[in-house]
Amino acid sequence: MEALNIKDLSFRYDSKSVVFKNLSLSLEEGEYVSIIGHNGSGKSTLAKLIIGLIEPQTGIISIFGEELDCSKPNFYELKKKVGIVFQNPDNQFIGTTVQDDIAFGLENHCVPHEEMDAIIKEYATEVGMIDYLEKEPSSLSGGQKQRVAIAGVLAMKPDIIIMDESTAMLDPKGKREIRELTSKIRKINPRLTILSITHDIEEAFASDRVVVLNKGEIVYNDTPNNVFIHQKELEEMKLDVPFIYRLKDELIKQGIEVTSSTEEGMVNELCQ
Amino acid sequence: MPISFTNVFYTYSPKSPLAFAALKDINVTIEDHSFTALIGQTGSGKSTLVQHINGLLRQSEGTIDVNGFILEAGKKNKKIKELRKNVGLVFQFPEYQLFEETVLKDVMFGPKNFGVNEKEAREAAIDALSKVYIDKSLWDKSPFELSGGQRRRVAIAGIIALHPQVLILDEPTAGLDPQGAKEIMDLFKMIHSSGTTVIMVTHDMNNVLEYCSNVIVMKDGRAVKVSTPIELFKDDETIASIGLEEPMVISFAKKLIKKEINISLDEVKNEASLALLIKKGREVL
Repeated sequence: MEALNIKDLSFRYDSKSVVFKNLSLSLEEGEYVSIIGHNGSGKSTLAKLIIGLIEPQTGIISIFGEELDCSKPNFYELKKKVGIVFQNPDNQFIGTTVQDDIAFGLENHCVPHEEMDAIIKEYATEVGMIDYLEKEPSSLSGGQKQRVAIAGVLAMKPDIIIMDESTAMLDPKGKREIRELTSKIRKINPRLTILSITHDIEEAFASDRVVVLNKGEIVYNDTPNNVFIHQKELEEMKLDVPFIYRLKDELIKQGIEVTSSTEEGMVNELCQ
Repeated sequence: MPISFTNVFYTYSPKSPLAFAALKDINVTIEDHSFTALIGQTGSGKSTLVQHINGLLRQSEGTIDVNGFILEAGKKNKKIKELRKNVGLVFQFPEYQLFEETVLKDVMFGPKNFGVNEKEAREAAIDALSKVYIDKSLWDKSPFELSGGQRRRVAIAGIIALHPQVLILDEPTAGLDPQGAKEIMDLFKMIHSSGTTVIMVTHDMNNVLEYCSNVIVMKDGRAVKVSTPIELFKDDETIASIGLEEPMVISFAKKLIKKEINISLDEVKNEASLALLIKKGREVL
């Protein structure tokens, strides 16, 4: 089933700047899609449109076949289907403790107090923060705060999660924690659809599909391997390619051709 | 003259229940004209350490010598303003500190604050803005109209305009797109080659390998290793103990070496040099 459909979307912040013009994109249920694009390419604006924080001038955003429209009665029900994890771990920690923070969204959704406790424990366990329920945000690392943010989002049982550069401000250990957590929650709930907006090319390389956004237009929308072979074009868009593609390119300059597109495969090929 | 730390300790909120020893017995020397990386996990004391170099934080114990300025624990140095003029510190996410009406005014603020007249401040600002590739068409815009990457560069220009002898950067590439990150690193390389000492707090090991001459590894408030980047990346024990992520070129080269392709790790800097070494290594096979 189609989880998210964006059709002929146009958006501008003011009369001068056009962010999107007739943009269309579709995500299947359970897919893990990365959007890459340079700073200012419109990635975060797209996230805000999908969660209904801002409205497009024209075009339709549908969630599981239903149109997201703030004038319709199902608007809030639809919005509940989409959760978002932002970039800055400090800007999205609202509670005074880990459990309060996870509870915040549940309270907003009027979940009865008796049920809340079990839900908090379930998702704190899922993200590996069960031993920190009483802890204050100041005693947590960036990666831990982001895990709490993810628990808060998961507790709302969304069908789609948007990660808006949610690893950008973390150190390598924090990034690793979130990467591992992402693949864990996908295993637990294979129907969860993930849209990740990222600058981390290696992270994008690990997703099912990569969408390249440039000047508000989708330039590529394909499997990672089919996207990253366009190294030259991506570099012109101020984008990078994964390490193995950069190395492949340099090897060609030295007269060595390798066909494999995994690290292990390349090592084996080079050793023959 | 080098920057040296001798038996430096620093404790946040001393004599309180929240007391936290952030620096423990730091003894390191940062050589003049070096490009030094400061690495380690979040909370290991990297940012605390660099904030001592311009006297923003005062050590609880020990002595710090910055190009001849002596900072001693418990004593006020009356020439601190002069020190700050010579040591430019770019904080993490410096774009949040922009405040002036226009980009140009924001960059001029620093020089003017140090007593430079309007005309010279303007010249210094224009020079700094061109160095960070901020186009003339943006100079009279509000900093808030710029993209995140552009704002970062404007903030850095504000420090460069002071012509510091020592430039300190706290995670300068965090959150930038790959191209923006590369441009900014090339800018620091240029500033470094013009004689400035550059000290950079970073998590990006690829940058440490490609750009830095020295590296200081912090762990739990201590400097646990001081070496050249390649010496560090050869040291598998330290890498494992501090949970470091090796540069991708290094881990790839190590895999090839295991399979008996002869590659000299000392010469690996980036993808281009690795490809050349692979070619040489395969010819010997």
